Amino acid sequence: MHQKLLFLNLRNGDLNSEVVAWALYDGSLSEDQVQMQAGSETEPPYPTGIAALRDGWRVIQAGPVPERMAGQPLGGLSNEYMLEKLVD
Amino acid sequence: MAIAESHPKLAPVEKRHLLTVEQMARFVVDGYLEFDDLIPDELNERALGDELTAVDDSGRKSEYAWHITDNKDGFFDHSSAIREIHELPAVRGVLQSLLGPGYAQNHSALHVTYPFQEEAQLWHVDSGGRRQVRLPGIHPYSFDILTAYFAHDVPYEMGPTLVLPGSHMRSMLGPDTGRYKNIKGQKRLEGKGGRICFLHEALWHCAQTNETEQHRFMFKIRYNPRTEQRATFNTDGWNSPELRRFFLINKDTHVLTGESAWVVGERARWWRYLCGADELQDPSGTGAHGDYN
Repeated sequence: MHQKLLFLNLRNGDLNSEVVAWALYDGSLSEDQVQMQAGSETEPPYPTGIAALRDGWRVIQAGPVPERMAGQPLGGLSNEYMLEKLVD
Repeated sequence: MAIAESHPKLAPVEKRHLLTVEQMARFVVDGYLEFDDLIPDELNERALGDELTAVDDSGRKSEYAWHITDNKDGFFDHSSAIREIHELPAVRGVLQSLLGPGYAQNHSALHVTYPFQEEAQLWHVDSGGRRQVRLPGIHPYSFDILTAYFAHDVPYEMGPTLVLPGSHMRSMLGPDTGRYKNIKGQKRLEGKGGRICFLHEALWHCAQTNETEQHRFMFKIRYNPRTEQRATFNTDGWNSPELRRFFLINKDTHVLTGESAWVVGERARWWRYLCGADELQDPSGTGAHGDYN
């Protein structure tokens, strides 16, 4: 079995909201096969997080609700879900 | 980090070469500016000729790699065309507008993407990210500028530098953005030969794959400010109704994951700082001052 990890960042905290960033790490690819590259795609694999669940992805981690504090700098992309699929 | 070199011989440019408020406002929203018409064709052709001598079948020749940081005789010193380009009044006008007079060159490098290169660079922020992350005591609105100069046509498939517009508002350390791969709004700086782009130091960017049989060159210089970055451009009309409308229209531009309210306020504060205006006043104490938002 090999693990495929899909990171999705969503428009807001609702898992049914729009995917705005995505990254796939595919453990089933061999060393000489190219993993997803930065800038390689223009459209996400799923329109929403729920659409990924319908296709069999399992959420294994959800990012915490961001704390927007006055005077604190803005960090990375929020509303992040880490999903997995196990494949042969 | 190398000690920056300054160019005291270069006098400040005339006002007509400085950025307008419309161009500066675009930089505040996007985090970069791109120009296709600042550099004469003759200089672009000479620069490309020099760049082609910097590579051979095994890759980029080591003597033409980095300038200052680990190679004092890098490509910048090798190419008179490259030096002339970055000393053109039109180019210096943009640099002076963003950095203030007396800005200093920190380091430079000739970046090469090789024919049929399949792997892109990771998303990153140069030299650690926003200064406020790196060094306590540095003014939060102080920023360096990275230039990205393309001597030749760089179509989409050749892999021009990829940027994420608006990402300069985020405080990220350089390698932390490596997890992300594809992001809505990401943009390749494709265009005609002679294109030069000016990037805020905190802008996320990365080199792209090259699907062509030709080398893709990009010459980069990092510049440091040496003055307070206030009123360094042509500030005529900075508080006009048109400018206010511009920021209102772009309230949600580049906002990806719900940070609109934070970004709007920070843009307004930064804009007033850049223009040399006073701090935002909010006599009601409610935050509902309606200034740019």
